[in-house]
Parts: sequence; structure tokens; C-alpha cells
Amino acid sequence: MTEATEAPLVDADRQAVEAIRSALNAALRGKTDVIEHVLACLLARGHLLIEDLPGLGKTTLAKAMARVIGGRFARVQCTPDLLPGDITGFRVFDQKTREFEFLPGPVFADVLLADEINRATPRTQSALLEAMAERQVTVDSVRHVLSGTFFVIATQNPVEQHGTYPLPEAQLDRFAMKLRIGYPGRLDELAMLAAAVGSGEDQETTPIEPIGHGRLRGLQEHVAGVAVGPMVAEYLVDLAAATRGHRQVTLGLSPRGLLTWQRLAQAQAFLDGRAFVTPDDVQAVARPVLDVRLGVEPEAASRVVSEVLDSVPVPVYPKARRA
Amino acid sequence: MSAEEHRRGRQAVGLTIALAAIGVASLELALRGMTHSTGLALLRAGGLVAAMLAAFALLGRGRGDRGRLPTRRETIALLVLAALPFAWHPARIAVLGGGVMPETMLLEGLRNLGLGLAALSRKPMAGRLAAVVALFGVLAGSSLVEGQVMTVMAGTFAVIGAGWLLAGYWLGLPTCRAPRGRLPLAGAAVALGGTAAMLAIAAVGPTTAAAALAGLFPSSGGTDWSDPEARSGVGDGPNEVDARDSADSVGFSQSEVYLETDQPSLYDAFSETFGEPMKKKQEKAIALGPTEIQRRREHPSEDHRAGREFSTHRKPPGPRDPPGAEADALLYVRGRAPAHLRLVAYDTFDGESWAEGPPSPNDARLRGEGPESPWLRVEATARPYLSGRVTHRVKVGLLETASIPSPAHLERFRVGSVNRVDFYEWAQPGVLRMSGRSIPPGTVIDTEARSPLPESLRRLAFSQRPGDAFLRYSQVDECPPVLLRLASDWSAGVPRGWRQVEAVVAHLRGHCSFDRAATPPEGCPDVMAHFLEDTRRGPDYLFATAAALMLRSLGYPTRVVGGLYVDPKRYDPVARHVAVASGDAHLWVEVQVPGGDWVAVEPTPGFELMPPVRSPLDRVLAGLGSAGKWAGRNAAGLGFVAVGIGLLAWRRRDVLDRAWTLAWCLATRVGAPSRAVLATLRLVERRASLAGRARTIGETPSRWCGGIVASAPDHLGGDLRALVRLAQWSAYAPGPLPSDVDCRALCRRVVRGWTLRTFRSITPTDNLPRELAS
Repeated sequence: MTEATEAPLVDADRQAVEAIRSALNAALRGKTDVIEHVLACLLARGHLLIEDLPGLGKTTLAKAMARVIGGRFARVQCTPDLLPGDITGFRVFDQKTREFEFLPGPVFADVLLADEINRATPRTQSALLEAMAERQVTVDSVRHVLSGTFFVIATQNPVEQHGTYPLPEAQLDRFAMKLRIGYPGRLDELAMLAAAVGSGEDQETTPIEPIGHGRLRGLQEHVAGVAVGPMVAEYLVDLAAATRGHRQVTLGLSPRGLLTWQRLAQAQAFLDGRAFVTPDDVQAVARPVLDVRLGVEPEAASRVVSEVLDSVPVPVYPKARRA
Repeated sequence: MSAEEHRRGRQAVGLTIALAAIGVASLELALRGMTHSTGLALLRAGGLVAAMLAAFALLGRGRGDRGRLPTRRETIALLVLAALPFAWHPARIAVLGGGVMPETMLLEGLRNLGLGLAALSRKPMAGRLAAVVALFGVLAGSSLVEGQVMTVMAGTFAVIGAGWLLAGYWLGLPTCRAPRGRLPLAGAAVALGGTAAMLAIAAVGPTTAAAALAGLFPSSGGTDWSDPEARSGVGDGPNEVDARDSADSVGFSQSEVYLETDQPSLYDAFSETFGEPMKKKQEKAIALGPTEIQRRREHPSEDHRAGREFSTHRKPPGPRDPPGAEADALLYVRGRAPAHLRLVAYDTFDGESWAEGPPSPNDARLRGEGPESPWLRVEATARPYLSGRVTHRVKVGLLETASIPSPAHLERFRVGSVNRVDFYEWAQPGVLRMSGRSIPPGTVIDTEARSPLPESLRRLAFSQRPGDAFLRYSQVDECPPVLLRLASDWSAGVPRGWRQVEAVVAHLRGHCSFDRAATPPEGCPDVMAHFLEDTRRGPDYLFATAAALMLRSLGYPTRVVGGLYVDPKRYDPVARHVAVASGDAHLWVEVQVPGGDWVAVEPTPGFELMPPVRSPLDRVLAGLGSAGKWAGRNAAGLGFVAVGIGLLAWRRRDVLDRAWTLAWCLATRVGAPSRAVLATLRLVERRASLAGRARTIGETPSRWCGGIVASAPDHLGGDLRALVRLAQWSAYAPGPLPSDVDCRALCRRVVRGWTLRTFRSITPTDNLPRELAS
């Protein structure tokens, strides 16, 4: 069993998590479930893929996140003519110094919003692979390390498919989860309209107290230390095997996906104030984790995930004790 | 699942069930169509399909379809279904008195498997297997059954099968891509198996392989089964050479039957076994009285030439030859032993010799079972004292006889393929023979007879004044006084009827001992007195004569029957038959019971009658009778047990709850608090399960608890939530439980609060899926 930290959520941690949660809830009204998943993804050092229609608050969410963690925000609007160098940066010849100088691209931000990522060519999409997986980029054989809290929020439009390049499985597996924001409720929209009356164009002027990079890194390290008992680990493995054996799943959960699922479950337990993971945590993050990486027909995804969760017994009583 | 997928899935399941139903009907036609009518076979198939549909509906109630493959339990159930015919076979032999061929059991097992798979056809793999089994069933039915019904079913199967394939194709479209990186193990195994089989066939040659395959089907090579469904097998030799199948064939049975042979007859066997009859020193003419003349006129056709009478004045038998080779046997008998095979019946006794009765043309009528069937049926009046069916297969060896060696109470028989009634006649009542010819060696005779039950015979009412038949079978004119005295003594105090017959025979068996060499001396004036009083030893014909005369003196019509005794001691376990030699020639007694039938009794010690074989109905009735008697003797105890079982069944949930609570008390008395917490949660889950609120497979305790607590009182809900939190801690946390919580007190509160009654009070009435899951 993984060593557990003594208290997963000390007061400072609780305050930091609450600050992030409040900032994100203020930016995206009425989407507490989505915010919780985003929080878990952030604390698990994962990247987020949001598949939804335009105008639902994806950029707002990304900007709010960048502000609350006190980092730099960058946005890339992906188009077919976007080049890898436009994301990673490139070297230019400086006429004054007579040397090549590296101009960092948007990937060097703390929060990167890659809007409509499926409109970029596969070549450009793959430029994000190294950045997302290893938090570094290599340009002209020179390795450049990214921010320790580097966080990618990519979006794609589920409706328009003309002129798009669907993300390959290898790219999808780099994302920790896929979320759909959805339309806000009626009351939330009324509140949003009321808040917009009299406010300026630039909503980023709303004061948000950043928690700082170091604080976020500390939270992420605490999450990594949340204990995962042997029964829960076996449960995770059984679930992964169930995805691989399901008749409608052509691509089951990869070991990397399994690791990501565990880390997200740890983050979920951390957010619930526990020092150990329970099957509830595993199930809470199952849907967004599996949505992004299971090879399954989109309309059947929800049912397949339910079937997988319903088919694997939840371990409660240790086998040794049962005997 | 989308509505379209639902619809396609239902279509595929429906088509699978239709295919399975046709497969079952085809197999039933193949299994029963030859012995029962087509309608009955289809009716039976309908019943089986109805049972399958009931199981299908039951399995589908309130459950989501999970997985493609049957679960482990379902697989075990399928295997049990397939093995049922084999497991049931010994019981079938015991209850029904006969078994079935291994092929029949295989087909029945396959039918059961198909039914089980069809009931599980919501699972795709089970459905596909059900269709494969159904295809085999239709192929088997098509090859075994002829008729329009089978043709229609095969055509329907083809049409539905095409639809089933289309449905399967549509369903398989989204998942037709095979997962990468996985070896096709099943396909490789099939390919390897096929290659190995081809190599083996090539190595041994096709002829040997075909012979080996044929060996897998016992009816083609010969077993001890006789089944009317078998189309070929042992016993068909005469059929091939009797010129009955083909006009070009010439059978030895038709050509050699008229040849003079040196084969021993029954007369020879009697002479060899019992010794030659003594020659009468002189014969003199005597005047007959009017009664005797009248009696002679009644039987003008009686022929007292040698071989049609049996003298009780015989020389001692010569030195017995050592038992010869089995090839010297007179008959080879397969079937129940001991058995008495009738060959001749003697009904008149002149004080010295028994003489055969005349032919009895008015005896039971013979009736063929159809032009294609070699079997003939004996039409006799109802005989309520007969019970189970006894089958024998007799192969004629060296015996030269026209009489058909058969046990008493014959119902059906076949002699080779000779199914013409005019080839047979009754030599004496119950003794059948071929008219005008003897049975050729090598002929196989199958017989089906019924077994008399002693208890039923004892219930028969014998009349005080015997009927007309008594006149013929009751000559006691020259009965020695000693015989009359013993008969009177032995029957004294025994009510008239079969019990009296049994009493006399039993006393006789104990009074004298069997000694084949102890023949009366030449010139003995009273053989019976010498046998019963002087030596009290003698051969079986003296026992038979004494018993017959004693019973006649008591008013029972009797006759002495000669034939062959099938001795179980001579059973050959390898050949699985009894070789009957001339030393097995035997005489016994038959008593005429009300109705005119002749029932054997065995007066000679050392020889036994066949134990009674009871029909299934008689067995059931006997079992019920015994059970009733036993129940009557133990009524009080049974009443207590019945009340106890009823109470247990009625309050089974409460009883289980008490037992589990007791186990919880014992388990939580000692040990770590975390163990007590988990044991408490398990107890609560079990109570919930009894009340129909079981936690489902993929449900976490906290989710389950949330659903339960929502409809429970607050104070109870808080305790249960706390217990679940502690249980999570116990199960998943690395460290011990927090010390500031009194776990044991909480556990006790939960156990007292969340009783079975509590769960029942909050159980919604429409929660069928959970009740099923429990």
C-alpha cells in the first residue's frame, strides 16, 4: 500500500483548494460537477479535453484557472495552417547579436488553451504530445523545460466535422479526462445576465487572489501521496480488464490510462478530505477518464461505462478476513 | 443502448429461440418419432420449449444483460443439463426397467444443452451456441426421420437461420474489428486439431479410421442393448439370408432346416442329464373303463411316441462329460437370470410317465406389428398379477427344437425376421413352436415377457371347485398315499390360494434334497414313496412330479414343464451371456391360476425362479405403500418434523437473520475494531438482502447506504452512515481506525437499529430487481 500522508487537507491546503474552487465557480456558474472534475484534473497534473459547443465558457474557465494559480495564460486558436513552431516556439536569427535566438511559443504558459484542437493538422497536434506528456519541448535538438504546473485545456467542437483532423488515440491518451460543460441552467443564466449589467468588457479585472505556483505544486504532491489500498488497486485493475473485455470496446484502457485513473481517484479522495482512496472515488472520475480513451461509439460510451462499472464487484471485505 | 440496437438485439434473441425450438423438435422426432407418434413427439417438444421460454423469461426479469458469456454458475448449470440423461440413466433402468442407447443419451444431452443455451440467449455467445446446437439437431433429425414434418421443419429452419445470420451480421457490425495484439487461440486450436486429425487419418489409413469411428457407435458393433429404434445390428444375420430382404439371397435357414442333423434335441438332453428311461419289461393289453375311453376320445391326437412323454422311472445318468467348450452350448441367453425357458409341457401322468398335452389351437392369438416389424405380439387377456417387463435374447446353438425357448407370460417376440403368424403354433398352452420346422442354429430370438408378482398372486381367489381344465390337469388316480398325506400336512392352516401353493412347494424344497444321481432303483413299486420317505433325495423331475401331484391332490391344476434353466452361475461377464448346455435341462411345475394362465413354481432346491420385476407403476405404488406404512408408524415424529420444516420455511428469513446475528456476536467478541466494523456492515447488508434491498454488484457501500438512509429515520441513518465511513476506513485506509470513535458501541447500535423489520418497513414495494438480486 502506498504511504499515506498524515492529514491530506490541512487548513492551508483547504484554503488553497477552496480559493481555486471559488474562482472557477465564479467564472463558470452552475457547473459545480464540472468544476470538481477540473479541480481533480488540475491536482492530478492531468490535461483536460473539453468537447462542447462554442460560447459555453471554455476560455473563461481556462483564464480563471490561470489567474487563480497565478500563472501565465496562453491561447492558441488551432487552424489547418497552424505550424508546430507556432505552438512550441522557434529560433530566429538576431541580426544584432549574429546568433540564433529562441522565441518561446504559447506552450511555455502555465495554462494553455488549445481551442478547436481538432482543426490543427496531425503534425501540429503531435507537437503537443511531448509537451503534455513530458512537460518539455525540443526545438532544433535543444530541450526546453515547461512550467511545473503546465496545464492544457483543449477544446473541440462535436458538431462541425468538416475540415477537422480527429485526434488520434495516442494524443487522446495524453488527456486525463474529457468533459462536456453544457448549457447553464435557467437561474444561472439569469444570474449571469444580472452580473453582466454594468460590468466592463474585460471581466479579467475581477479580483482573484492567486495561490501561487508553489502552493499548487504542494497540493499536487499531496495528491500523489494519497493511499491506494490493495483492494482498490485490484478494483482498478479489474475495471481496466472489464473495459478490454467489453464487446463494444475496440480499444480498452491502457496502462497509462490506468495510472491516470488512479491519480484522478487520489485527487478525488483528496478533495473529499480523505487520505485514502475508496471505490467511490474511482467511480466518481470513471466517466470522464474513460470517455476520452475508450475506443467506443460516441453514442454508446455512456452505456458502456455504466456496464463496466456495474459488472465489476466493488470490494468491501478483505478476502483474507473473509476466509 | 439505442432503441435500434435494442430492437435488433430482441430480433436476434427471438430468432435464436425459434431456431432452438425447431432444433429441439427435430431431436425429439429423432428420439421419439420411431416409438411414438409424430404428434406426441412434437407435443413433448412443445412442452420442453415452453419450459425453456419460462426459464428465459425468469432469467430476464429485472436484470440488465451483463457480459457476452454465461457466468460460471450458468455454465455449470448447462453442463449439468447436458449430463442429466447420463446421470438419470441408472435410475431410468431401475424405475422403467430398461435403458436407452448411448446415442440416445447423447442426443438428449445435446437437446438439454440447446434448451439451456436458448434460455440464456440474451447473452450473445450463448445464443450463437444455441443456434449451432439447433443446427446439429435439425441435421440429426433430417438424417434419422423421414416424413413431411421433418422436411417442413428443415425448410423453416433454413429460412429463420438466414434471418438469424443477417441479424447477427447487423449486430456484429460495430464490433467486427478484432482487438489487436490478441492471438486467435480458439481458431488456432481448431486449426491444429483439424490438422492433427487429418494427419492421424493419413497415418492409419482411411479404412482404419472409419472402423475406429464406427467403434464409437455401439449399435453398429453390438452391445447388450436391444432397441426398436436401431436400424441394424446384432441379430440381422437371418434377415440378410432368409431371402426376405432380397429375392436373390438364399438363406441357410430355408435350406438346412430340412436336413437331417445330429444336433441334440430336448429329448437327448433329458436322456443325457437324467438318464435313459427304463424299458418296460412287458406290455399287456388291458380293458379300459368307460371314463378312460371317454378321456382318450377327448384327446385323439395325443401321440405317445418317444420324446413326447417323460418317464419318471429312469436309469441313473451316465458319467457326466466335463463341461465342453462354450461352442457346444444349446442356447446362448442374454437377459435376466435365473430364468426358466419353456420347451415342453406335460399334463397327464399315468403313475410312471408324464405325457405332453395336445396342441392348443385356441390359445392366445398372435398378431404382427406391421409388415416392416419382425415382432409378433401375443394377445392375451388381462392378467393383473403381472408387472414388469423382462426381455431376453436367445441365440439358438446346437439345440434342435421347434419350440421357441421363451419364458412364461410372453408378450412380444421375434424369431429372426419371420413375422408371419402362420409360421407359429401353440404346442401347449404357453408353449410356442414353429409349425412344421425346427429353429435353425444361429437364429436369434428376442422375447419380452411380464413378471408375475407373488403378492398379486396371493390376492387371487382360487375357486374351491376347479373348472373344466381341472379334469385334464388333475389326475390323481394313482397318487401314492404318502404324497396325499404330506400335501395335507403341509397345507394345513394355510388359506386356500397361492399361499397354499407356496407353502407346499416350500415344504417340499426343505423336505428333500436335490441329487441328480439318486434315481429310484429299477423295479421300485412306488417311486414317490421312495423319494419322499426313503431316500428324500432325487433329481428335479421327482421334485416336479411330487409337487405337481401334491398340488393336484389339493385341487390346483398343475403341469410339469420341461425346458432349460438359465443358471446365473454360468454367466460369462466377457460375452455377457449365459451359455445353456444340455446339463441345464430341467423340469419344474406350473400352476394354473384363475383366468387360465400358467404360473411357474420351483419345487427343486438349488433352482430359483426369477425374482419379480416390478413395473414403474408397481414400484411407485409399492414405494408409496411402504412409505405410507412407515409414515403411519412414525406419525408423531413426522408431524413434528413437518411442522418444524413448515415453520422454518415460513420464517426462513428470520431464522437466517438470527443465525447470522449469532455468528456476528461470536465474530465481534474478540479481534480488532476494524474487523467488528466490517462484520457489522456485512450483517446489515445481509439483513437488507433478506428484505430485498441488497447491494448490487457495482454499487459502493456509500451509494447503497445513501439510497437506504434516504427513506429511514434520521437517528438510524446517521449511525449507518457513520458505520459505512468506518467500514471504508477499515477496508481501504492503511492505518487503524480513529481512536476517538467507540466502534463497538456504534456497531451494537446499528445492529439493534437496522433490524430485518427496519429494512422491511422501508422497502419499497416496486423494487423487484433488488429482490431478485438478493
